[in-house]
Amino acid sequence: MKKSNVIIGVITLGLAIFVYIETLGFPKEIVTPGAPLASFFPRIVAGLLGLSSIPLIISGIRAKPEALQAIKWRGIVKVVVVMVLTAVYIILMPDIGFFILTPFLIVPVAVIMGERDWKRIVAIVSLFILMAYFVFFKGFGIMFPTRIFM
Amino acid sequence: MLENLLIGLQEVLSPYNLLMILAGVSLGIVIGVLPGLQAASGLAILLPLTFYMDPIPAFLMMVSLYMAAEYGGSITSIALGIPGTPPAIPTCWDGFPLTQKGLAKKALGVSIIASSTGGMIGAIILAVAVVPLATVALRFGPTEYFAVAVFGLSLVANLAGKSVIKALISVTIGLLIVVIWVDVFTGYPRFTFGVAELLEGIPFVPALIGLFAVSKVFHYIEEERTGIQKFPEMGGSQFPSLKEFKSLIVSIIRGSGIGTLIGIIPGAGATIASLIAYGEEKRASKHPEKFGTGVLEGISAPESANNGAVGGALVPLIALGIPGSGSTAIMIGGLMIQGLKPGPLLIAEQPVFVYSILVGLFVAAFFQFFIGTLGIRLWLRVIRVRASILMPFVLGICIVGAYGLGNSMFDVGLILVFGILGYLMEKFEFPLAPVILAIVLGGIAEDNFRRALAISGGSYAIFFTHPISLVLIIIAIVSFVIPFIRMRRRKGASL
Repeated sequence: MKKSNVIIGVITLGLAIFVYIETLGFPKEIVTPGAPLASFFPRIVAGLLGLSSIPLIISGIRAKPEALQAIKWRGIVKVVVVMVLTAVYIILMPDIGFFILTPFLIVPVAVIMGERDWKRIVAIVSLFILMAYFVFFKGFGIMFPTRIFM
Repeated sequence: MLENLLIGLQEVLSPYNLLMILAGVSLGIVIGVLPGLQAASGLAILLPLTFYMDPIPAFLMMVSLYMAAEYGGSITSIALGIPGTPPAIPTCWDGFPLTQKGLAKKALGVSIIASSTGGMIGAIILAVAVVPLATVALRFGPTEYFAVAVFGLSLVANLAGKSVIKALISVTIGLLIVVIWVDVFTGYPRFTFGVAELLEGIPFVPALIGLFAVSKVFHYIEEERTGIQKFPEMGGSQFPSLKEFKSLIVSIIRGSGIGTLIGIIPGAGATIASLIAYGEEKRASKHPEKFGTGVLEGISAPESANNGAVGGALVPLIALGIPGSGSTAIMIGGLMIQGLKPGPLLIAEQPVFVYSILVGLFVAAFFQFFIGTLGIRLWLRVIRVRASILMPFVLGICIVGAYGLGNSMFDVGLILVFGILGYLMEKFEFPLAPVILAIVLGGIAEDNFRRALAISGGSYAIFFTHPISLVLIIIAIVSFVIPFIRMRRRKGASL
């Protein structure tokens, strides 16, 4: 059995059922004669998703047992940490500001990726901030959140 | 026409106009390289500048930027596997594997040849057939748009990779993303769950950045690739051998033709053109199974198509005054600032202007070739940058690019969500290409399907009584079925 296919198949089948149930609450009044209702297309998509999920589950059950592969937990933990860091960065940016907060994302990501040369880290952060300021802020007129300073 | 073209050539060859083309091409390449920024961003910046310029140099700079941005997107696709612009998505699929094989130089060389040739062919088609092509484009109604979208979606089987079932799930995930917005017919918010930002739907570019760029950063982190990427030695010529070039000619011509034709259809654009060109190239290939592993046709077809689409997109703009995309809408603004009225009378009243632009597009393709060729060494250096330095930088650029689209933190949040989705999908071997295909085409398909049925009073016959629609639907069915027949023939291909 290929567990990952079975689990994903069950999740996508659940998603298809959820989408279908959601469409039951869509308006049923015909606004434009001849045109399908708002629920028509989502139901077709839900049906397709459901129909595609079943063979995935079946093929997963029928598949020969997978050779156990060593899961690279260290790498996965690093990815999760970067995802959390990015989420925190996104939440805090409107209150703290882009130019102040961005080094607190770039530096940890560089360190997590194994960079230990502080000169290189300082150089990359400075280059990025300068580029963001001159190209995107000044050049393209993008108004970054600048809550604390500027 | 020939006389007008010669007058146009004379106008374009003035040093000032050549300088404007050079500036437009250079800026366009830079914009294309930066994920998140597209031709429309660059054109929006140029717009206020053009106010102080004469119409011809102003518009020459704009069309040059528009074309070069499409090429620029291929550079990061090949060097890093991260598309700089949406039309460069298919270029990743074979471009980056070539880089991993140590053939980045050749991949970049093929990209610049295909892009520039596509641009030139698009310009020639534009010059020869601007009026009749515009007339054909005018005949496109909801049924034809629906048929084009179905044709594009039928290519999912060509983009399936190892498992067709997983590709179908990918495409339905893309279609589910598309249904999240306010239904245009009833005003009912579908799957928005009270989130105001979702009322306008999920924007395409943040989804693209998340799926293809942020997910790539996550993969680099997981695989703990920290140092200089260890690709085989990148020696050899940057251009394909004569034998390779001969094998690419058909692909480039086909890609350019597809690109120009798709580009003419308002709203279709370079992304659809390059996806369809890639799918068609794979379908027509004698070795479709090699696509995705690093074949030169996988670069030449989409790159010639997305540059060909630029010439195509100018057809409805010049001949009809219809903007087919965000970029051409800005260019129409540019024309109006200059006091010119785009539309059928423009060719009759301003022949020098129109033919200067047509010739200018051709010259811009030449400039693009030379600047792009000179730039290859520079882009190769990017590959040599340590991943632990490059990837945080890429993540930062993704955030800035997404934020810059609408000065919205919601878009930044989306790149993280789609980054996680893309990372998980790739980890479990679900292809990402069908998701993008569905996001690009799903909305077009649904809207026009419903519009067509509204026109016909609910009769499905409308899709089969319009000749263009009928032909496209037949091609779509054939295009969808052929890969399955091929798979049946090839034992060992798993469902």
